[in-house]
Amino acid sequence: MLSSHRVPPPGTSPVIEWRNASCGYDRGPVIHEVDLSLAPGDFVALLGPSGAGKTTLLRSILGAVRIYAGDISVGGTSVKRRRPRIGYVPQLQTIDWTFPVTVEEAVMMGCTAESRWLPWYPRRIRDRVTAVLEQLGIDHLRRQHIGALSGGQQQRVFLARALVSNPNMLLLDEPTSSLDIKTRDEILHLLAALNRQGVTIVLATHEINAVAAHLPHVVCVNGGIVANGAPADVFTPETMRRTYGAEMPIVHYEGLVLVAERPHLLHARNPNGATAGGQFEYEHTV
Amino acid sequence: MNTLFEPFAYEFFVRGLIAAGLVGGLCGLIGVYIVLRRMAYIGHGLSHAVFGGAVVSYVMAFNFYLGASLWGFLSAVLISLTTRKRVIGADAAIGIITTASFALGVALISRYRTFTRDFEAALFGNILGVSPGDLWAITAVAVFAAAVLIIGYKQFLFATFDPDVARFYGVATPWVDTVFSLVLAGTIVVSMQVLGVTLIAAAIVIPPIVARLLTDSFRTMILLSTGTGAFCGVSGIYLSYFADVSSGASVVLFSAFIFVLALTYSAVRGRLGRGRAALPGHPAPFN
Repeated sequence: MLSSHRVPPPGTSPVIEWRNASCGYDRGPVIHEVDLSLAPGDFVALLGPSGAGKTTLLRSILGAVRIYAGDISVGGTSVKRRRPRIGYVPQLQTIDWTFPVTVEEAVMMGCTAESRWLPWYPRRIRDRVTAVLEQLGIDHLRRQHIGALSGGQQQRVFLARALVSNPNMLLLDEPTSSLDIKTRDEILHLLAALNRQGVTIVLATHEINAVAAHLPHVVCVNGGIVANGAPADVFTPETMRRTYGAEMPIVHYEGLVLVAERPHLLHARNPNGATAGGQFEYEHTV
Repeated sequence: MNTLFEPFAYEFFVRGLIAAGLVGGLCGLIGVYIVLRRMAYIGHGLSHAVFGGAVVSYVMAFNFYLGASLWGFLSAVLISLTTRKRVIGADAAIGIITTASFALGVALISRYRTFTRDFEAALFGNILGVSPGDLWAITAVAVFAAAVLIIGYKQFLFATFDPDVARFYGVATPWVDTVFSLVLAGTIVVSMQVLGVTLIAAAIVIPPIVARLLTDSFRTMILLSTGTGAFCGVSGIYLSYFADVSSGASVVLFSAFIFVLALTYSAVRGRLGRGRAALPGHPAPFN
């Protein structure tokens, strides 16, 4: 597990709070009656299958979806009243990689609101961009076209764009999908380091074992909140069934709580030979 | 040698040359945003919509520039609103709104046949028809467009690159879209006399694609596209004098020739793979 979670002092006000919130788009709500609080310094994975509402829940923090009922507040202020300034990293698949921008130009976009009516970026912003590029180890790529980078470098560019305005909260939509194992590991450790510096991180992911199992806080989503807490508490066969609509045994391995995503394969290897009726209704320890 | 300088002896030609340079540069500048937003079809469609507005202005004895610009702006906003509904695609929205507007213009022309000849110039471009008043109007729109796009450079860049995310970073994307629609409508209206409704789209699309083949930087692409547009405008008009063809056709054919040169240069430099990926409809492979 990534040992990055900063435990907030008792009595700390939540940094993000959903109060009986139902939200979605023009065609109706996607997530229903959400009651959830995240503390400052939290490092959270929103986990669920495709179409479960992970991205909607993530975007509800930005005030970018329609709130049908209840309310959502960030830093104590309702997102209906004021859209919060938070670092946001979209899915890499949504980026137009043929667009003619260099790494430096893409990162500078993160400061657009700071010098709105000037066609150039002031010195202080350029210095900040340099510092963030150095922090993320991509300073040498600043003149490169974004389409010429590897997947990990591309993720760092958009992480840099989100960080350049010094946000205390970072939202990421599927930050590790399409990345190889080594790059995924690097990105997760980079996020853990940022979290240790005090940045609250919320990420949406569909990767149970590769991402969510390593974070200190997991929220299972499927049209609403199914479960919320540490992986050891949340990853149960019952929660997985309600989240994914499938039987998924839980495996304990070297202190990690993992979910068997190929239950039939595991069943075949089960030395005890589970019975057909309740074949995955147990947690089993390797 | 004197033959080469002969056209400059005519005042109307010099005026047309300046107009073509300004219009070419303006279309090249606006075209960068059109091409990168993958809205090449809107240039084509909106020019047809403006034609309808121009005819209505004429019939109602209203100022041509104001009437046609207002009509074009409303068409662009209507397209934008229809597209946001997502049920109707952008191409279908453009197709419906602009062809209906064009058809209205054609219907009015067939009803009031007295001014058919004037609108032939609007359809195909006529450099002889550029008056000092037209030149002032072109200059005013060019200065306005340049000022808007320079002052709002960063916001237009972000809204073009990633409109969905730009609003999370404080960019007022609906305002950016509205202001851009206004600039686009103005550009098309003042370009009609020089290029003609049917050929404006090419002047908007070709220079940015030429520029994209030569650079990976947005700022450089803006400068290259504007320069290429202005160069093609001036050269096309100059050549039209000797070839005795319509000004719009000459500008577009010369632009197409420059495109072929840029494509060849790009291929020779071994950039063809990336250049091809840069063109709309050819996404680069995900790394």
